[in-house]
Amino acid sequence: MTAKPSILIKQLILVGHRKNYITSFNPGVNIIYGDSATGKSSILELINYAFGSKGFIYEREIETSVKYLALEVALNGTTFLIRRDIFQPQKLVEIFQSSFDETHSVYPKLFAPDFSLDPGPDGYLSDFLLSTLNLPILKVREAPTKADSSMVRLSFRDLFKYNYLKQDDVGSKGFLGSGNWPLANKNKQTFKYIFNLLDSTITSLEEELGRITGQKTRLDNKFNSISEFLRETRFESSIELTDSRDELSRQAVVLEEHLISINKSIVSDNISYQFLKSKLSEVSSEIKLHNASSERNLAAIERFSRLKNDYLVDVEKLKSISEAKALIGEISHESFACPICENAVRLSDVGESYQIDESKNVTHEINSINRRIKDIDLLIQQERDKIGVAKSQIIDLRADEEKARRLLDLETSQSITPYLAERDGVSAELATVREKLKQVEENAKIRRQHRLLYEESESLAESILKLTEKLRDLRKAAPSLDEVRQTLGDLLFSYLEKVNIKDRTDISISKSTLLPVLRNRDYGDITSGGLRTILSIGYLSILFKLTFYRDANLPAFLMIDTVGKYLGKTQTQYSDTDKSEDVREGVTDPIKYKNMYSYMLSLAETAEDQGITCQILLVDNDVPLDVQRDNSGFIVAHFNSRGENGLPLGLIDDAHLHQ
Amino acid sequence: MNKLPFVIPDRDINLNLGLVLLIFENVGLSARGIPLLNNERISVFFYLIKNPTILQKTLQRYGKGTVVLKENETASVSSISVNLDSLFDRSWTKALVKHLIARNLIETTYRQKEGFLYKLSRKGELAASSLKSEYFSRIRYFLSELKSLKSESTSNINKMLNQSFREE
Repeated sequence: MTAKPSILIKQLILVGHRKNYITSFNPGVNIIYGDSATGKSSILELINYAFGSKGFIYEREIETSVKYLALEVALNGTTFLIRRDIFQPQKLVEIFQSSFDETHSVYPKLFAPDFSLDPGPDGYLSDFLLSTLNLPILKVREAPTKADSSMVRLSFRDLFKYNYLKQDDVGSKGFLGSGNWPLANKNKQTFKYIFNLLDSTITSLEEELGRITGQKTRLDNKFNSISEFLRETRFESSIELTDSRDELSRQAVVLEEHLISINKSIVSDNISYQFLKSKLSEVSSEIKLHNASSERNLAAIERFSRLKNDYLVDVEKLKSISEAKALIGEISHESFACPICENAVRLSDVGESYQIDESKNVTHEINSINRRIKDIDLLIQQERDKIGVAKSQIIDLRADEEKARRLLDLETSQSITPYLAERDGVSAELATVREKLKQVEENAKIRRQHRLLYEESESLAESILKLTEKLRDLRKAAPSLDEVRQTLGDLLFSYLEKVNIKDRTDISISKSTLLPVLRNRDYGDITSGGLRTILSIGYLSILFKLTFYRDANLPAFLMIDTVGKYLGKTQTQYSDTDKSEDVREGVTDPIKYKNMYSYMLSLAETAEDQGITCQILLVDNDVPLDVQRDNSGFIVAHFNSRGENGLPLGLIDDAHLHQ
Repeated sequence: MNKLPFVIPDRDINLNLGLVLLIFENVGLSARGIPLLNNERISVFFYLIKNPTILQKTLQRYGKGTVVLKENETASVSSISVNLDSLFDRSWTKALVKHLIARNLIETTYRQKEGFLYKLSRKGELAASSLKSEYFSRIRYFLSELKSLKSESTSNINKMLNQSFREE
């Protein structure tokens, strides 16, 4: 038995302007439930869009909040990150072989999402998905009964119809194209493809084998050429690059720490700088004081000198008095007659205006003034001495000042300038190291890309092996449609028994439509909407189950939007049902609803037991209480449109905050 | 006022008489020997010789030569603040003149325009020429430069003097 194709969604990420909106998923059953208009259906639609649907109808919240869509998914065990622009469906889809967080470390492949567009550099999305899942890429006849009918590709989108049951399609009369001949036909071809029932299967598979083999050869050549080239250019190996990166990272850390310690040192050495600075200002103020007192000394000297000069003049005058007295003669106290008017002129009144001195007074006075002059000279000399002392003190202080200033400059240049120089040096070195690191990481990316070629070749080798086995099996025992129908019919019976619907008779798979038959009534003829819901969900579930037991070209992956449709749980927009029939069938019976959930839960359990990777995503307005209680771990998202109980408002939970 | 316990040289009668004699000796007569000095003129010259800084200023202002002053004439306390009172006290001048006349040191004449004019007598000339102390010599030097103002009218000299004061 060859390994089974598997799709395992890990995360749906809406990369937004303000934040990323992430929904994470687990293997097995995942339940998303809540009020209407909270974005539950959008989650499934977005997954569908990532897998190449034609477009996504987005609400305003998404338009204003979201930049693009990213889906982290494991295909046959390998993790990929699918990135697609929500607003431009024609744009190429990017696929990184990495997780969401590691996309920077690999180069993406670019695919066109639709066959109607020009292929991307790496082809079409559908081809990528099918080949990664190891599913054969075939062409089918448009009109199978006509031998010369043109061949059309069977795309991933055709297959995905069996993996995704949209809300409109649940219990719908047009389920899987029922009532629409071209659609129904295409789906029948797909059904046959799933079970390797196509007439052309073997030839197609042989063609496929040839194609893949050729692909591998080309890939091997490419890998070898590149290996040679990398060798010739002495490109570092992955190990060397990892070592370089580790070494450079380590260096960067050391340098960063060094920078931090340098900055710390600059700050701490400021203390000795401050001390010198204060010393310097102390000396400077002392010098100022001395200068000020010298100024005062000079002013005093001037005053004294002026006074001395006055004294000197006085001395001269005094000497002159003696001389004059001798020459001019004594004052007489006579009176004489004025020669002009004959009046008596008395001389005694003259004495009143002027001083008349005794000669010994004059000598006495001269001596006294001379003494005073001597005193002043002493005072002047004292002041001069003071100035002299101050001058020499200033000289000393200036020397101190000079020394302090030199030390300060020295301190600055010794302590800060070399630090600054050092810091510049370290910064430059750090920049260089970071630059080298970037280069190394780029080179590592190239190496990884190179490695991917090898891995791709290996997986192609596996595909070739599987395909060869498949062909062998098919040649040995070609499956028949009848046999498949038979097996499915049995599975359908036990499903309906599990759900416990009434009147479980004449249950089979129609030969013509390949759709369920109940009480010999084709699916499309059943009037009870609720019953159709049960049957449509059941149909996909049993196909899902069948892949466990036989080789089928269908991944064990199922998305159902609104399990409870027509089962008394949905809004009135869905009215294509015979209400009385619904009542008769008892579709609103909660136990039936619970049984459906139980069936799907047991599917997941079985898969787990057998080591098969499977995933079921269920969206509903409500969930049976038992399920809520017992399996709360399966509930992946629970929304409440009013935010009751602190639940998120929906997929975009912060749009209302940024109206 | 007479019996002050200390001497003010400037106020001594003999000193001032000597000064007046010197004034007469140097600026008393015109070139033709006509007396020039009346009370007013004596006051003015008297003031000038007692305040050498003003003397220097006045001479310089009117381009009438200059005197070279010694340090003790410029850098003294008196030279800083100039006292104008003496200029306007005529009684001093009159008293001095009286005294000189009493000693027969000066003679008087009268002219209608200028009033009483004086000149040195023979005795006065002798006395003046004998005044040789350092101070008197210095005054003589000042007066020799003042000779350039000898022929100026009194009102002119007063004007010059006023200008110098204004500059202070």
